[in-house]
Amino acid sequence: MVRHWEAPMTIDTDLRARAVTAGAGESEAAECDCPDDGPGALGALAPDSDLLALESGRRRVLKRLGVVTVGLAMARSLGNVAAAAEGPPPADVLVYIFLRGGLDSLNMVVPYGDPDYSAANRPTIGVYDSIALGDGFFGLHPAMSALVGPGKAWDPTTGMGDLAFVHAAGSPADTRSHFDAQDIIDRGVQAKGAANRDGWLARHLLSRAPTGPALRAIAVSSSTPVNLIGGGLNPVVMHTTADVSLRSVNATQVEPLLRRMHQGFAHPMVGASTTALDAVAKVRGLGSYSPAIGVTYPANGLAYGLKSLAQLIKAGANIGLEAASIDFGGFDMHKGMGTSAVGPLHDLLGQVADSLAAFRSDLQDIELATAQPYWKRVTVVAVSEFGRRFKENGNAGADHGHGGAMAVMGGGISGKAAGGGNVWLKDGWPGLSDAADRPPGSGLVTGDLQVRADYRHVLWEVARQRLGALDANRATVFPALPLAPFMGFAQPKT
Amino acid sequence: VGVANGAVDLLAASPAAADVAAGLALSADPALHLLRRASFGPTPESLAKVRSMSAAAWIDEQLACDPNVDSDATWSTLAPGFPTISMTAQQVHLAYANNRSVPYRDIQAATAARQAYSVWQLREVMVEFWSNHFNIHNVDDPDIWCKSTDDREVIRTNALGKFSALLSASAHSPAMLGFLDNAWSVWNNPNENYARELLELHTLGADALYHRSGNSTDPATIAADALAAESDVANATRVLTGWSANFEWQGGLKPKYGDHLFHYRETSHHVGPVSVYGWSHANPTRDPASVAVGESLLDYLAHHDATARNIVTKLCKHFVADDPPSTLVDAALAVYQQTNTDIGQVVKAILTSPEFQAAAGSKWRRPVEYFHSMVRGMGLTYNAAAKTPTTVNNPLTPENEGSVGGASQGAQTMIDRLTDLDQNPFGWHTPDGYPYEPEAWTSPGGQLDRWNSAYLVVVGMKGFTTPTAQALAGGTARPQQAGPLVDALTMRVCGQTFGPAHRQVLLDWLGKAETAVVTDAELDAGSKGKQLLALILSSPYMQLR
Repeated sequence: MVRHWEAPMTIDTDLRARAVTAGAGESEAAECDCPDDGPGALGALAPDSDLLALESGRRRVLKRLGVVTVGLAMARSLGNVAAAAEGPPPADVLVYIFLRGGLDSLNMVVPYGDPDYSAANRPTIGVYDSIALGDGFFGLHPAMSALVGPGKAWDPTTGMGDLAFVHAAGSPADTRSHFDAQDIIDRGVQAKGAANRDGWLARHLLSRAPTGPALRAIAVSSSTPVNLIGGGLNPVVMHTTADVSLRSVNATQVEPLLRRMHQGFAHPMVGASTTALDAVAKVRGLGSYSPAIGVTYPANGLAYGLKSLAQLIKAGANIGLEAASIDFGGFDMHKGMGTSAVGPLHDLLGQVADSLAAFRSDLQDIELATAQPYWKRVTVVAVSEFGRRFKENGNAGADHGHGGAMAVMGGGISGKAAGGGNVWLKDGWPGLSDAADRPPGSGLVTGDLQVRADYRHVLWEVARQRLGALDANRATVFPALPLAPFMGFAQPKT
Repeated sequence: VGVANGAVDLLAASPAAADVAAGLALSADPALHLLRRASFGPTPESLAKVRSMSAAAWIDEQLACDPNVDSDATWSTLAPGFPTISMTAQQVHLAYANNRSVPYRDIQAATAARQAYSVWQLREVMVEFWSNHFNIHNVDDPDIWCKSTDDREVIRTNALGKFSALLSASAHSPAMLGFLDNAWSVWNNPNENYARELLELHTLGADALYHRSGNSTDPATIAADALAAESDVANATRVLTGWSANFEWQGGLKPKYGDHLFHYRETSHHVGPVSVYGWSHANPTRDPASVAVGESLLDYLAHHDATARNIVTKLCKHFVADDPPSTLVDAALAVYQQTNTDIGQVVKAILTSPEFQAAAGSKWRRPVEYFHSMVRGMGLTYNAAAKTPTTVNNPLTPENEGSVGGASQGAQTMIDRLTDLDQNPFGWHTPDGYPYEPEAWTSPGGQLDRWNSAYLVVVGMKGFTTPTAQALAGGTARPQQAGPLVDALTMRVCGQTFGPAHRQVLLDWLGKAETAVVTDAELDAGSKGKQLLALILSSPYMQLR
């Protein structure tokens, strides 16, 4: 009898070998807290984690005092850094997409080689015609074909591409609550109740520089996502750049008056208003936008947002975009998820893939300042709060689960994993068996895919390798994160 | 009752600048404060009314309103514009199956109109609170047909009554059973969507459900808590299997839709012992009497300490402070328990507490509160007769539609403005409802949204009559000099005058010295008066509450 975990175990071994190899150079030094090693001159500085790791009450007090308190303290800290390293390291623009609602990642990156992935468990929603990714085990939902094939983000035939998936990934917190799980990931913590009430992405940006251009941080959403909340960062929330505009009878006269109307008192409104008016002036200067020749963005909210981000990225230092956080929802499919050919999951995944493919193509334009494609300095990460339960429920849907998959794509990402595809695993594929006699530690846990890759390790690899995060700030961005070797999908930024 | 004993008469306190935003001369006038929190914004009329009676008497009068009756003249002219809000769900479905945008728009617009115009403002505030707490995004089938029934019979009927009754009504509501999938949950393959949110959002709260041992750092305790939570979710799901509704027509001929009423499906019900968070039942039969098992669970949950804390904390955040004092939460919790979950009494205790009195200006207005405070402060009148152009018709995409030909223009305008602000009624997609955290709304983008909305309230409210600056300042009797003119306008619109630096901004826009005369012609030229009003509406005095 062929045991279902044998195939993944093979992949497991190879992946482990690769992870150690890839990690040996950069990541072990990077992960070392020793002040005398590698970037140790920076490591010797105590990261100002206490400053940002404030419990909520104190943070509110600080906010009411204004951003100056945080800013000065951070500047002191970073002044030392600057003296040692001459400014923060170069960084990609991060496009961080939160697929809210609990994406059914087992139907997005389908483990078709797992014998338990079958009609016995997923009679109506199962995806049995996925696009093979090259490892003989995983395939992509057919609706996402825009990302797979020659010249696309991942080419299984040549094994080349800049799209990587990390499967059996997710939060170490064992919660099936959307709102707790999202909150934990937004804040970059291990469990609910952690002291950090601000967002991990805000902490990362503020640890690089306490202040910056008005449009350094953008949220493509209807309200500020928690991952960008904190420390006077003042992210600009928009759907598209068209929102970054102000109606008045006379902009030249009215905008300075509005600025004065929001000065002279101590309140978070003051900083938000100043940033808003600065951002309006910047965006006004950009004019209209035409994507690269031959690129057409699809008609959906994600694509509209990405198109605006492409415009801002191409504006370069004039805008100074560092990170954009996109909320894209609707994945909570308890009922009527659909099939591989039709239905809500098919449609949403198609929107994600088509939008990202257009964004990637648009950014193949060459940037004059670097003589490289803009894409070379962009990294995209997609995450959801959890995967869905493996076994289909009675309504052709699936309830809340645990382990999921993350996607990483960008000019500095190498998709190819050890198994020959672009699906990366930490400690192998856990398997989908619920059998009583399965080996200890394998298979489902309470009906759900296990989490083996902590989402924070994936994000930290991106932050450290692509976003110019300093080892000294690791504990600020992801407090109490255990050390682990990098998986290797992110190339160190040069 | 702790809060009542510590209550003070708000109106006896002397007005003083709120110290929330140092340097901002935000008035802490108790009547203004009460109306900023317990209504969708002060108007000259509501301020006069509160000042003519005690705060407690005003609250009592508001709490005593009929939940589903609007006696005011304004509403009687508006209501005919929203035909579906008084229909049964089946009637809505039969009449609008091919024109979904009508029921979708009607309930949103009727809600916004009542928020702006109802004299029963505290009721509308609580309807908004509970609609958000029991959020049902009304765009999908069958929720789109059932939402107005839910609004009438669940939310409005119980908004100021007993929480236990509200919870039970919600659990029996076809809109909720459809939105969170319980209607299709069956014993041998249950759907836990509703049961989880019932425990996590509607009653116990996430902390109590998932972390019943408190914030332990012991991994074994955390794991045991998580397992216990999943067991409770699974058991609550079993209890509620069979709680469904007749969405489909069972017969052969018309009407082709079911009655969309609550229906218990015996064959779907789980049989056998169930236990949820300290409650248990043998649950021996799938007989219709088994509905009583679910009702027993709901009643247990409504009265549980964890539910009480979850609900009153949320109320204290809504009415008093983003971090409400524990003394206030404890006092409100005691009222909840002593009054058998009486929402009105809890609200009254909160609004008459010393903690409330001390909190003037400490909260941001969320977009829905900001928008209506502008409409109310400006005294915009809604022209019930104005219709959208008949040439525009895009009924198949209710979420994205521009307007429906021949519909109420004012309704469409309000929905458009609230959509611009990202807080149109019932527009939040997930069951947690719109966020309350100030950080969610107070970004630079949020500022731009508010300022743009302010401008459009002055110049772009199709279907409304917008008064001019001259009229708002007193018409022919208005102050002629610039200084007194801006004081009259800020007093009319915001209920207070501005601090000197911000007052000077308004004078600078007029280009006038304090005592210089401002003529009507000058206010009309180049939309000077309109932009003046937009600046007032854009000010921090309007954005805080």
